[in-house]
Amino acid sequence: MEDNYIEIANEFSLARVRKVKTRNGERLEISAPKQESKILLDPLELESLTWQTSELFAELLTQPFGPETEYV
Amino acid sequence: MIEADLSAIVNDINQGWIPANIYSDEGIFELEKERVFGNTWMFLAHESEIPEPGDYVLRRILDDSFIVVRDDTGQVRVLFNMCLHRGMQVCRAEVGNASFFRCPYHAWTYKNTGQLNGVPHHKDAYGGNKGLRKEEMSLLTPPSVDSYNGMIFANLDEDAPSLDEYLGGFKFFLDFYTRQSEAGLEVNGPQRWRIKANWKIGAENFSGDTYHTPHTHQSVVEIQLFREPKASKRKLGALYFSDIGGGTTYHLPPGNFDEKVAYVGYPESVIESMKRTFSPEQRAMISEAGFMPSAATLFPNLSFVHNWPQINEDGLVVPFISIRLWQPISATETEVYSWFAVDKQAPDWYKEASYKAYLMCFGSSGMFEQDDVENWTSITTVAKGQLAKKLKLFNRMGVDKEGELLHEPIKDWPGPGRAFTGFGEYNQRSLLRLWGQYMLGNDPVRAKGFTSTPMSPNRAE
Repeated sequence: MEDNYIEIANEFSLARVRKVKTRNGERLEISAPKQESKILLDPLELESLTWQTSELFAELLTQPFGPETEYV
Repeated sequence: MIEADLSAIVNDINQGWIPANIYSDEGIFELEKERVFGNTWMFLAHESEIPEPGDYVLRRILDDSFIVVRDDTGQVRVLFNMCLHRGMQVCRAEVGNASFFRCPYHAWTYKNTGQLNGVPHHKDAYGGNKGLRKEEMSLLTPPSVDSYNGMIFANLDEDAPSLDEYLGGFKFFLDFYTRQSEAGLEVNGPQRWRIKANWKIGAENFSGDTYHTPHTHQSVVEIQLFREPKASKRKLGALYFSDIGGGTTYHLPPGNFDEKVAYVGYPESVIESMKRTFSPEQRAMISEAGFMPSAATLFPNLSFVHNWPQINEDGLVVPFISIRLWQPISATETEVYSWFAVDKQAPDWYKEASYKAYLMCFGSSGMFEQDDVENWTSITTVAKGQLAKKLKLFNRMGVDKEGELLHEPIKDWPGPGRAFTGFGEYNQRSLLRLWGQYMLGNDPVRAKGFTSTPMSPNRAE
């Protein structure tokens, strides 16, 4: 594990990014400290991000704080 | 402020007398908000401030906040910075880059097109689309948005004349500051600071006050920052006014276009691009008439300054351009926005030298700036007094007692509008007459009445 985070922040949000090594390979960890959430992406997943459009992220942000529990 | 008072004030102004308290009266300021700033094209930003998708700056038209943003498709948009839900300011950082704006109050999230995209607990709180159709909701935009030479303007009046119509003949002069090459300007800033002065004073000063330079800026001459020190140099320049704005020029020594532009310090590559982008009439104003634009004001509160100080002990003369906005805070306080502007295609050494020239003269640390503001704050302060309500300031330089012009306008003036040499308050009068027409609810652009108001029944400017 490495602790050299890169922080990407603006008025609306803060995300931390770092490279994480496992015994057999590497992943990119993206974490959102305020949301207490994180995701580990392998190179192929990262590659696939490069051909996404902003519409994907618009879809993801229809819930501005992530998945919600709906109370019925 | 009752309408009868206002009519009397405007009548005085049309005769060349300025009731002193227009520089301090809060009642007048409240009317200005609605009738001047609610009906004119207001400068917000230059496109070079938001070159990349997602780039934005926050700007105001008095009390209204706007996000000026380049969306992810590259289109420039002006979004009213007020959440559709409970009215919170959606974005508060002065400058940034974002694909989405998330309101800090309840997290309603907008695309940088202004379209509402995300609502927390949409289904739970609103029954989903049954209660709130996000795709039908966008941040408001001003009724009119347009740009000229990369300068982004907005107008809060739904029935406003187009920006092109508004700028009218002043475009001819605006090009000297904003279109020195096909690439246009890049700007740096704005520096912002507040001064305890009424917004109109700076606007008037930049529109035509060549009379103050030799005295107010004497110290600038003494330290040899400025090469054109004498009053006669200012007197030889032209004062021009066309439609919605006017300004001042210096008269240049003899020579052709290249020589005259080189005299004020432009490098060869910029001179070549000016020759391509300026029209024959614009080139003629410099080469044949011999006038180089210096300061100017576009009504109501956008000014420009172009000057060419000596920036080192060897006497190297380098020009600079600054764009400045007199953003009113109250009747007696103004926030100054000051941008350094330079041609995008200019050589790097020149951009750096020009920036130095700007900083030495204008901006919060500039020597000209500090000289001016001391006068303007003092005017505003004394204008608050009781006796000031009775004083009408003498704004009649250049006309005699009957209102007849002391000098004829320049013959063969190559540009639109009218121009004079010698000292005169022609432009300050023109600017205040525009102010008067807007204050009375008459749109002078629509009425094409810019120069039709006589100074007195028997003559006129």
